[in-house]
Amino acid sequence: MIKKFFYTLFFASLFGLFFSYELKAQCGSELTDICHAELGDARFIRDFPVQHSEAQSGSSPRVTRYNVVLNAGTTYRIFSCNDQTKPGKVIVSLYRGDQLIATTYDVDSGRHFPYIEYPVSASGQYSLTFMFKDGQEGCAVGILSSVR
Amino acid sequence: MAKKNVILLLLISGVVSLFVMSCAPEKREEATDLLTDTMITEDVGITDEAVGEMISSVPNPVEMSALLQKSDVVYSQDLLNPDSNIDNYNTNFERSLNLGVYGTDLVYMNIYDRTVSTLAYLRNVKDLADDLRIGQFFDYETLNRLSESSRNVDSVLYITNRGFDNMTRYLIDQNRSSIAILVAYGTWIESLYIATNVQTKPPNKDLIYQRIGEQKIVLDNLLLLLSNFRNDPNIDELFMDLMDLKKEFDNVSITYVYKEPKMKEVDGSIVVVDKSRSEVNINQEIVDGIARQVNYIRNKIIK
Repeated sequence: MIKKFFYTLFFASLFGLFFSYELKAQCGSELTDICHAELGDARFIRDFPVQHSEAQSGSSPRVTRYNVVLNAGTTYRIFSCNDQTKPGKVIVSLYRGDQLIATTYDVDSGRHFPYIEYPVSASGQYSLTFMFKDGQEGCAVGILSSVR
Repeated sequence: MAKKNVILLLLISGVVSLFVMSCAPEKREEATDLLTDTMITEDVGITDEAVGEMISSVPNPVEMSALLQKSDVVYSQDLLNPDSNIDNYNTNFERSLNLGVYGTDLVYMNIYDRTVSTLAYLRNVKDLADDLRIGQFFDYETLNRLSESSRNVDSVLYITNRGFDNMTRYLIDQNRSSIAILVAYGTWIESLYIATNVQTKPPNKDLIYQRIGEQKIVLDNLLLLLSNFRNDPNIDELFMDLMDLKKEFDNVSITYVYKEPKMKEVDGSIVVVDKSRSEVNINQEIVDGIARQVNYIRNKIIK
């Protein structure tokens, strides 16, 4: 009986370890690798991993911001990929100062878009913000790339 | 007899060990500076999150090198920091800066398809990263293997850049932001050094000069980042050098005309149409002034 209990415990632990690995598997560098495969002909410049826990009820969803300098004459593609094991879907927005340039989420239709393509005509400092829709728990990566 | 054999075996293994040890690469000296950050507390201060937010504005060297290559600028090996210089870097301060320098050289070589000759630079990046205890972010074996063919340039660049990005985040998380900033500093100065020293010809000369002028925006961010670590005399010196560079960049003017951007859906993705414009006013004299100060800073870093 005791033997059976330990066997069950052993296999349950193994399963737990495997399952937790699977859950973590996509988040981080591996997710960047998966997303990188989506770039096609675009050239990888930088990645922006984002991981948020679920927002407390009544509080605003957390936003992570990164500053980037974009150059006129370059067409940038900003990709985003979600860790499918987490409920949250990332919303990436591009700003110049306070001015919203583009976002991967259309509030009216409720659609998410995989990337933003931006042929930059004014060099300067821009910022990328990342948040998860409805403040859900999520893990995602944004990739800044340039079209050749 | 058995005892004699054991002694003989021990003697042989001793001699072999000594031989192997003498052939092994010399272990690089450990440095103890910059192990953790000491920021200026009475200053406004800067959180790790803010460092992470701002450091991403320092351009990846891929962008400048790709522009040079696209503009038909001839590759120049002479501009790179000689790989043998690595022996001169014995402090974490020097190693951090030159990790950025060699990383940029590596990117420059790869963009120009000089993958086969990158080996020594790859080794230097790995060695300096190991010295700084961040070697885990550079998969030397994979990069070495991929570098054997110029068909793998994109993969090499991707693994290298991802390695630098992961390293930066790790350093910031570990309260070692000063090292991340020094690497970014080395990266940026080397990129600017190459851009201001390559042989440029019209019509692409103007495009490269404009890109040089646009670095004014990056310079302000770097100054802000460094200002929080000025209690370290070495970093303070770098800050002052950048202030001198700023005097040259003050001659560059950038004018903007902003228009309302529009988003449209194309093939299931968002494409931005933006009629805004920026104009960089820069001339040969200003570029020469910038180049002089950049050369001065860069030569101090790599000496």
